[in-house]
Amino acid sequence: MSSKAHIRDLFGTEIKAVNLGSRDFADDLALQGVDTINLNWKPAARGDKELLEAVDALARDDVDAANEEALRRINAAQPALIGVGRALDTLPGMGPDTILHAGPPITWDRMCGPLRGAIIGGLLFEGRADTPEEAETLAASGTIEFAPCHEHDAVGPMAGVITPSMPVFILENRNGGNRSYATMNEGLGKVLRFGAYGEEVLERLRWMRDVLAPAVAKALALSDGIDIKALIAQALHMGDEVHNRNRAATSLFIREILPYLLKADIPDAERVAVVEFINSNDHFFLNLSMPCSKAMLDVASGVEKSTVVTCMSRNGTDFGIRVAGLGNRWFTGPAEEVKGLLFPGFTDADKNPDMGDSSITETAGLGGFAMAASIAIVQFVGGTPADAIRYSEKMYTITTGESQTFSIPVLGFRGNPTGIDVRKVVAKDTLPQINTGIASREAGVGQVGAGLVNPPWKCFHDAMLALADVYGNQHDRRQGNQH
Amino acid sequence: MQSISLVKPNQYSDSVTLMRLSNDVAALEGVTDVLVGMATDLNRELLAGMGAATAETDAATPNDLLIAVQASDEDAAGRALEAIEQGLSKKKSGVGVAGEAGAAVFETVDQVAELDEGFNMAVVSVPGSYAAHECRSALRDGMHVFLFSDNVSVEEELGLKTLAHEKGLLMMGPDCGTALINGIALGFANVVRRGDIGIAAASGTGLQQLTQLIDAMGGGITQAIGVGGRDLSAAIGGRTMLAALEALGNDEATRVIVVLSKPPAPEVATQVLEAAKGIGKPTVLCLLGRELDADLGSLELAGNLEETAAAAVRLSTGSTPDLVDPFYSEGTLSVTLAGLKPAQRFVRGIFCGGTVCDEAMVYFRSLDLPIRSNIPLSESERLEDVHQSVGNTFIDMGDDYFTRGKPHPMIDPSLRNKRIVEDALLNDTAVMLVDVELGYGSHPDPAGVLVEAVDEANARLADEGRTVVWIASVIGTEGDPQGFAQQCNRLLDAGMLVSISNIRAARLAARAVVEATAEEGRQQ
Repeated sequence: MSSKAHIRDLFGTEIKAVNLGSRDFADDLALQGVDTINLNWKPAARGDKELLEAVDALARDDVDAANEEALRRINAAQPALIGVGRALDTLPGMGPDTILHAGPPITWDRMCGPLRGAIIGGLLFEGRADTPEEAETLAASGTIEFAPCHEHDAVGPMAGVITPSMPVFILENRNGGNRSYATMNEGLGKVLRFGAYGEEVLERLRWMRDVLAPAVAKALALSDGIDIKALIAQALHMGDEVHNRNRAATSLFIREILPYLLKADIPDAERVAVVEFINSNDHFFLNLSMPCSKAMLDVASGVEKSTVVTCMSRNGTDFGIRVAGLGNRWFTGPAEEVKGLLFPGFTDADKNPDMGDSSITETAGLGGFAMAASIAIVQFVGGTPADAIRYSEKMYTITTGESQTFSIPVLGFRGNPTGIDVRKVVAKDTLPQINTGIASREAGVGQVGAGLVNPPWKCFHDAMLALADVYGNQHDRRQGNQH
Repeated sequence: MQSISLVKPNQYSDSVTLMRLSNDVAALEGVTDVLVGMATDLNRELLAGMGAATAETDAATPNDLLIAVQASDEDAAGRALEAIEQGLSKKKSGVGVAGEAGAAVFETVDQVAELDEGFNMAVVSVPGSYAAHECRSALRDGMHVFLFSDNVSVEEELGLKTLAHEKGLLMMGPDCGTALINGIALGFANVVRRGDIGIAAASGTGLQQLTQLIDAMGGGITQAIGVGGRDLSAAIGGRTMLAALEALGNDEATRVIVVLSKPPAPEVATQVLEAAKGIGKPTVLCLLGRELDADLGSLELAGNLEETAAAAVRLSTGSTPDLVDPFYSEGTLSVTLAGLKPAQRFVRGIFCGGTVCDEAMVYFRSLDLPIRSNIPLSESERLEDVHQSVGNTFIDMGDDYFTRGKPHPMIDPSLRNKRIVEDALLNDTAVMLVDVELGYGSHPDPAGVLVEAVDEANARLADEGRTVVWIASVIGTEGDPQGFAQQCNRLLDAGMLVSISNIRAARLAARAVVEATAEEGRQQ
């Protein structure tokens, strides 16, 4: 904030005006030779007076300072991949009957097709049921405790299902100590995260548990951990945005881990299979960029008065967000339809609503926020290179500041837009831009396309009112006056 | 009869543009009623009043544009819709006031602030319920604010002025019509000479008249700061007035200070007077003819705007000034008076400016001439039906009642023409007293618009074999964009008496009324 001014200083200063409202006033100022910008104005907060008052109640220096603190923490985080563990032993609060899923909390009866399919597959994989029908009965019985990955420090793409015996990546923030977790990416096609539960899916999951995970764990044990944040920073300069394009990042990851895989005590046939598996999946790194984003954002959670978003995620039915100053409260709305390019043979009728925890990348200033770093992505999600640049530029208007680690070459190496501010989203009626894969609404079909989507307005509307409710009546302006 | 209602979702235009568009389209042949406006509660109410509400219009939000047309037939309705579409698209193509081709489009104050190019003044005229938010953004971005909008709550005003104080910024308004900062006109203001007189005023047209008269007396202005109509209330405590006085006191270029306001709330008056006295510069206080029960000390009290201007210029130059009033002449008054019928005994003042209306009333009252008004000095003088003039009547057409859903008559003076013609034709009207505001913000040809009404009324009066006395006060200067001499000449050509001083016009009107009454006996 600017230092205290004096009105009399205005008297000797050239007037430069911004005009909002009647254009005539702007025209008159221009006639007088005054440098004038006439805003292309529309009512803030969609003209919702209650919301506007909530925004104004938090338009304060102490809230700005809280957001700066949240941003500082996000920027300071240094997540590294340090190991692989079994979900049951590793994830906080995970029990033998727990199944985690993407997005905000949801009950079985409201789950979409792909999420149900993934849970059926998870129960079959765990040996809790012998047939899909048995698995469904068990899932509906109330025995299984469903919970969001986010409530167990984890994230998962698409259905995001994590069952107790699945292996998970362990990331640790070396500047804070908090950890985050994610499953390992299965690749494309018929995979659990799109709700497939056939034998080939289960077979792959068992191989990942029995071969891939131990091999990666052994390799990592020889390393000092792999700095995932640094890899993302490099990948952004190589055309990835690490949500829907992870080709460069996956390559970089192979460069990092390969020496340790070679040195580790792994049977040769398995070593080859492991390298081939990672190398054949352009999206392998997604399950690392996601927990990296998660570990960065979790340190901002709990910053008093902060209106910075710490999580955006969806379960295929609901979209949910969480905000730093309100801790673990969810603000939800119906997940929206993703608009984009469909693979040949699919139509809009095949699309499931927006799904997965992968929008944690956007929350951290990556994905849709970093599209200007990933011009090639428009061939996948639709639009033009100019659109990609515009999306990133627009996100600066709703964020607290910029990343100190990630930068976008085409924008003059400007730091990524980081720290989504609920106040700005609401006041400017500008929703975060997410680019994402589109799942078939039918379990097990897989990905049918990719495109662009926004969170529902309701999430931010409700979060803004809740923020004003909790922090709106405080008049702590001490920090502001001391500047 | 053809009635059409439409909603255009998420299409915003400013209210002045839309109201003007509504008026233009309503003037088309065969069109009986038009509403083009954002779907605010007020506009939806107006729409319902037209009988044009639909489920769609009921569900519209203030972000959506409402269009309703009622016309004699399908063709006329079609032409109206076409004209509306044209008017709306015209507005869009004109973005980029600074004149740079392909200039960036800005949507928020914050974006402009982030340019970091010294934008230091936000001029805000958005609908009142959204104004506080925008002003708060501007103040937090370190900009001074000129807030023209009204309908801003007392709580919001207090919050904004407190924030402005913390930041050391000037918060002019809400409901601030006029300011001159560094010689630049903000809102409705006239082009006047720079000089050494600084003004802080809680009146828009009053401030315009004052700066114009100071100019006509050879004086000049450093700063003219509008504080907003409610600043001197007990709730707001004169926050902007006090800030303005402090700034003018500290400003080396300002040697004489003028404070212009209706009498403030008593607790505020003490503070403002103490602040004014404490500055130590020659200061003139104008309370628009009202008394104030307080020790004025060294402050000079002036009764009306002309006296105030004269006192300020005298303090500035050391000698008593003359008012240069180039088009003033009483020559034709007696001729016109001779054409009155015995029943014609009253003045009908139809004003655009509230303060000049007020000043004229105070003068009539001082002569014990009974008055009625829609903005009465005391409740006993309140007009029972504001549409029906009774006795000496003074109407402020800029009052909220008349501007509901319509532009201010200074922006569109045609809105008072109907009333002017009606009142001029009343059997008992002897004198028509009107004001004409030139300067930035005002209509490009207010005299031309007024003369249409005068000509129409005169033609019909001639049919009845009688006349009325037409008197206009013109608030304008040579430098104003409308062309001062050309505007005055149009009024003279229409047979009007013209003065640049409102109080002088009021005096002339009072004299005419008194003489008309006195001549009554002779003619019978």
